[in-house]
Amino acid sequence: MKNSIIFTCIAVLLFGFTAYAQENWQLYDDFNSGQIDLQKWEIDDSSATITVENGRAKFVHEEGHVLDGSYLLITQGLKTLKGIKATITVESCTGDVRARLASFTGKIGDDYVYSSHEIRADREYILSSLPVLGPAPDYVFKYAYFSGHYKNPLDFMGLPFTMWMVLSRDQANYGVEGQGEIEFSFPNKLSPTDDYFKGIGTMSAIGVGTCTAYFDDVYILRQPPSPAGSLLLLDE
Amino acid sequence: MINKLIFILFTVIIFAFSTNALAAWELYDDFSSGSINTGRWNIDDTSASISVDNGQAKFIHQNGTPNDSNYLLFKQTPENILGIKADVFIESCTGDVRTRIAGYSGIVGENHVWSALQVQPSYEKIYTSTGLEGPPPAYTWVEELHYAQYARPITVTGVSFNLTMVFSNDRITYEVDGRGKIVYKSATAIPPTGGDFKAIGTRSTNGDGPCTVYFDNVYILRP
Repeated sequence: MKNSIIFTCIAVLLFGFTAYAQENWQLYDDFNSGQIDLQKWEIDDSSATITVENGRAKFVHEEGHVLDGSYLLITQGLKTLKGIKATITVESCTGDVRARLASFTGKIGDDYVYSSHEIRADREYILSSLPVLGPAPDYVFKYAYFSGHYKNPLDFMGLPFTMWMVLSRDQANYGVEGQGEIEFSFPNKLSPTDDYFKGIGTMSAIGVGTCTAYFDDVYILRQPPSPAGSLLLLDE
Repeated sequence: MINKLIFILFTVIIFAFSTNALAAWELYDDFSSGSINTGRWNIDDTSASISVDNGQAKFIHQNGTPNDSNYLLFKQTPENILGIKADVFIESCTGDVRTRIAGYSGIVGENHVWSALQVQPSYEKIYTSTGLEGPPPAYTWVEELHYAQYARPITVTGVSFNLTMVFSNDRITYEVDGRGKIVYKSATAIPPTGGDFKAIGTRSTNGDGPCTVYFDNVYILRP
């Protein structure tokens, strides 16, 4: 009996090591309500019109907004959220506009490490990146901490891509269904962030181009609730 | 006693699940013999002079040789090499010349999967890349599967870097001491090539140069 308990405990720990990240995604919004649910999202539409169309969040990014991102910002339980997953379809896109998952993941000194997982129409690939930004409120770009992309060139126009990113202070894991995963383990553990911004949206760095992108089936991954899981996986 | 055995058994299982856990790093060459050991290396020096200087392999990459790579190619059962580790020091460099550890890690249909971990002084970066190339002998470029770069810009010239690249059937792990670890996991498993091309060396796309580079303490990972 005692041996069985030990066996079960170790098996559970093993399972926790390998399966947590894949098994605990929770649906946050599938936009089937027909409109943006203001209980779930804060809207920043300074450079795009954001609506719900046929059960998907629709962003129409406008020309002429330099470094002005538009977002649906997650509002519920931000401090325990470590992963975002969504299906993104770019219907049409010009210039350098990108459709993305975005978040802060930690700090280096006073600087913030931003994480973006994005479809880049101009470059014909899906990019994962960790730019380092200066202190609030300006968040000025300082340098690239990491960047990586998948298959290049990628035929993506009009095609849905299920993309996710899971972030901690030690590591960033990015994935694209059918394309693979890229994981970056940081050389040094990041400091905790004090800005919990996480969202989906569009942005152009140079203000050139328009873009129509759809987001659907947004899932979130939270830090594990159990004490055992917390010991294994919590990093804050 | 039984509890201890169960614990040990599961520890071994956990260990075995981790990537290449049962493989072991072994020193392949520290170049202390004073010359390139042709029992260990095949030499491709079409656009560089390759020698041993103060216990290090020294490449002097010449300009005027676009898309012409230089290598020390692993000669001793390279088909069993799962990983390469080496110290790299770039003394001076101009143009787009990069220094790298590289090799074919698998095969997809008739195409071969090429992977490299590269240091490029003029672009102030260290980057990883994986791509598909057509069948030998031409190995014509097909497409890029993955690319990633460490924190950039960084000073590369005059700094020693320890580079590591490890292959397995569905992922390639790259590591630069003090710079972090990058893992590219393919969406599908990539069977081994059974081929034998794994190497250290230099290359310029544009035919730039010259570039003087040292390699030392080359380790390999075998099953």
